[in-house]
Amino acid sequence: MDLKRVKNEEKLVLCRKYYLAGFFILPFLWFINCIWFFNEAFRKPEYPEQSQIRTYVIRSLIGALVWMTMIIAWVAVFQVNRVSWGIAGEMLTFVLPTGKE
Amino acid sequence: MEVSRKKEVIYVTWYFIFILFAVYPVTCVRTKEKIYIELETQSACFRNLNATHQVGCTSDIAGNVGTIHYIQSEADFEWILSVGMHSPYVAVLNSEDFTGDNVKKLYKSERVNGIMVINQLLNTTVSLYPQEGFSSADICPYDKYGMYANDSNFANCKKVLWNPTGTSLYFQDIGIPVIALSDPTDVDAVLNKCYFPFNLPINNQSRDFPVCAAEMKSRMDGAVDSISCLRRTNRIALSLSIPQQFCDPLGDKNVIVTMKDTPQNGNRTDSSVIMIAAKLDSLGLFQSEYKAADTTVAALVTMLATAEALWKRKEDIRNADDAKDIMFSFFQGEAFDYIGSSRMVYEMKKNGFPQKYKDGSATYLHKIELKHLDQIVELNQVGHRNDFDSLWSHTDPLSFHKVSDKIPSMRETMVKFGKAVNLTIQETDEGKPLPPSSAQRFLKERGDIPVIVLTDHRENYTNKFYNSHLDTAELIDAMNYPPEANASTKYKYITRQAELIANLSTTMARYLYNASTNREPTDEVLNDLIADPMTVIHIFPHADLYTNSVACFFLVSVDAKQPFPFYVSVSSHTSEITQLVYSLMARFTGEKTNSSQSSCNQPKNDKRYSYTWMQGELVTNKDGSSSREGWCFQSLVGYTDAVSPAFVIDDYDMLSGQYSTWTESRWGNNAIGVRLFLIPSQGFQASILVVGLIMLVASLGLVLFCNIHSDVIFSKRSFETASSYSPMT
Repeated sequence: MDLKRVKNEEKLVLCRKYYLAGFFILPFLWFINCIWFFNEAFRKPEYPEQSQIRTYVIRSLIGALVWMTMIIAWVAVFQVNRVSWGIAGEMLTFVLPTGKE
Repeated sequence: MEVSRKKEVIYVTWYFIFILFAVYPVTCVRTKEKIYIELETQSACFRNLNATHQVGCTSDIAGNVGTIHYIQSEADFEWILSVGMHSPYVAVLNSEDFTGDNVKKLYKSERVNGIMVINQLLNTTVSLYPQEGFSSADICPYDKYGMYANDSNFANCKKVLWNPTGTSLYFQDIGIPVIALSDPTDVDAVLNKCYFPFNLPINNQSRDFPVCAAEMKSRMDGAVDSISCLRRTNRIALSLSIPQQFCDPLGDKNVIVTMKDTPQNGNRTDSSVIMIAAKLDSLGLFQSEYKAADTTVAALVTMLATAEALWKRKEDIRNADDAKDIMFSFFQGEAFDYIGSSRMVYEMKKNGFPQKYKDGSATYLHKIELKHLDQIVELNQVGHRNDFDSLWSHTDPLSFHKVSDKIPSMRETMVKFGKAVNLTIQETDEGKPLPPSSAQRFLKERGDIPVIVLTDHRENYTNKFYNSHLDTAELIDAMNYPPEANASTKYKYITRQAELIANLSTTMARYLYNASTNREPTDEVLNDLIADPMTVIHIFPHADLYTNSVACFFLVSVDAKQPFPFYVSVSSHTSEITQLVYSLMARFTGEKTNSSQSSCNQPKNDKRYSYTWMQGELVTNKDGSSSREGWCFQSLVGYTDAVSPAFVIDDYDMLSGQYSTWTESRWGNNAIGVRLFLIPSQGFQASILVVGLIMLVASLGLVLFCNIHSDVIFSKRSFETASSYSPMT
C-alpha cells in the first residue's frame, strides 16, 4: 500500500492496528510498523495524528528490539548447548544435522 | 553526427562479440572434467555404530582435501607427519604397508586428511600381504558377547589369544576417509598422473606449485551411537521433506535345513537334533572387499558339500524313527557380535523356531527348542591347515564335566572317519576355551550341550588375515592352478584346498550319519557318503552348478557384485551369499518336482516344504536354439531371521550388553567418491580471482553500454530508416 495516497486519519488507524496486532506474539509486525511509518512519524511535516503515530512507532521499535534480543540470545544458547542437552536438545531441533552429534 | 555515433556503437558491439568467441573456442568439454580426474573406486571404509560408539570412516560434508603422497619408505612417513610443506596430506600406501600401526600413526595426525591403499600387486618387489599379518577385527574377537565374558579364568582371552594379528581397525573411529584402490586405472591415475609428475620431492625438497591433491568423500549421515541414531531415525518430526534416516540395524537371514520333516504334532524327543553350523559372513575395512576365503568360505563350502553327500542316504535317516534329526545352520551376522546365532537361540527360547505357526489348519515343522539339541558341531576357519594338514577339535572346559560322557566318543568317531580319508583331527589341550564361535551363544543358554568346534588352528589363528580384505583364496591354495592351465582346464582342476575340503566333507557326512543313526555305516553307505571335489570347485560363480541352481533374476542382480560381499549389511536386504546358499541347499537336499514356474509354490496346508525355482540346465531345442529347462525343487530349506533380538524386544536396554546392537550409518547417493586435481600456488589463485573481478566489472560496463545504446543495437529497422526516425532521440 502506498502511504502517499492514504489519508492521515487512516494512517493512524493502520499504524495502531499493526501496533496492537504485534502483542499477539507477532514481533515482526512491530518491526514492519516502525520501518513503514518511520517517515510518517519523524520526517514528514507536522500533522495532528503524527504524535500518536510516533508513539506507536517508538513502542513498536522497542518491542521489536526486545524480541530480537530474546531470539538472538535463545539461538546462541541453543546452538551452544544443543548437544549437551542430549535428548531434550534433539527434541527442540527441527532439522537434525547429519554425520555429527 | 548521429550516423557516426551509431556506426561506432555497432563496431564496439562487434568487437566485444569477437573477443568473446576468441576467448572461448567452441568445444564441448565441461570445465569440471578439465579440472578433475574422477576415480572409479567405491571401496570406501564406512561407518557402523553400536550402543556406545561410532566406528569407521567419514569425511567432511564437502570431502577431505589433501596433497597426495605415496609412501615407499620410512622417510615418507616422516615427510607426511612433519617435514612436507604441503600439508594436509592424503597418504597412499602399498598394501604391504597397510598395517594397524601405520594406519593409526597416520589417522591420528592432524596433517593427514585421508588414506588410500593400493589393493593390488604393482610389481614383484612388494607383496600384497603385510608380513606381520593384518586382521581388521580385535585380538580377542567378540569376547564380550561370548560365553566367557564374565568368567575370571577365560575372559579377555586370558588362556589363548586367538587373533594376535588383530588391529581392531574396524572398531575404531578413524574419522577420515580410507579407501582401497582395486582398479588398475585408478592406481595409474594416482601415481602416474598425479604423484610422480607433480608431488615427488626432488632433492628432498617439496615441489613448487601446482601440486596434485585428492578430494576424498565418504560422508556418513549417522553419528554418535546406535541409540542416538535410531532414536533420530524413528522420531516423529514435522517436516515437509521425507523423514530423515540416519542408520539401520544390521541383519539378514540365517539359512537352515533339517533332515526330517517332523510335523508339529509329530514326535520330537529331547536331545534328538544334531546341529552342524557355520557362519555366512565376515568383515573387512572396505566396502565390497570381502574375500573371506578362510574366515568364512572354506567352512561354508564344506557344509554344502557335506549336505550333498549326506542327502544321498537321506532315506536311512528319515525312515528310522530312532535316528536323530540333523539340522544344517548357516548363521549370518556372526562377525558383528553373533547376530544370527543369538537370534536363533532367542527364537528357540521363545518357541518360535524354525517356523511360526500362523495358520492353525496348516502343517508346520515341529518346534526345535534348546532342549532338543543333541550336539553341535561347528566349522570355523578350516582353510589354513599349517600343522601337517591337521584340524583341531575344540571343546568347552566350563561344561566339560556335564558332557564328559559324550565328548570323547564324538571326538573318537570324528578322528576315525577322518583317518579313512587322510584327514588328521587332533584334540586341543585340556582346559583351553572354545575359540570365538556361534556355539558359545547356545552354551550360554544351555550349558550341557556337547559342542565340538573344528578349526585349522590349535591355539591362535593360523590365518594372519582373519576378517580382512586380504583373506584371499590364493592364501589357502584354492587357486594353485598349474601355470599352463587355461580357462577350461582350470574349470575342472581340483585345487589342493578343494581336495582338503572334500575330505573334510566326507568325514563330516559320515560322522553325521553315524551320530544320527548310531549305527556303524556299512561299506555301501561309506561309498555313498563321499563328497565330490567337483562340487567344491563348482559352487562358485560361472560354474554350471551355480548357474543352474539359481533363478534367472538372481544372476542379473549379482553379476555386478562379484566377488560376493560377505558383509552382513542392513536387515532390509537379503544378501546374495545368503540367497545362493539357500538355492544350493535346496538343490542338494531337495527333490525335483514337475511343477512349472507359476505353480512352484508352497501349498496352503503344508508349510514345511519350500519350493525353489531354478533356471536349470541349458538345453538345446529342436530348432537349434537353446533355453533353460527350469527346475522346481521341493526342500526343507528355510530362512530364519538374523536380526539381533536387541531390535525386536520391546524396551530392550541397549546398554545391557546381552545382544548385538550394531547398525550401519546411511549415506547419500553421491556421498562416496574420490577425485584428483591440481592445487595452484596462492599467487596464482589470487590472480585468477583478480581476473575474475576484472571480468565482472568489464561485463557490467558492457551491459551498461548496451543498455544506453539499446536503440541502436537492437533496432529492428535498417540503419538508414532508423536514422530517419527515432522516438528516443
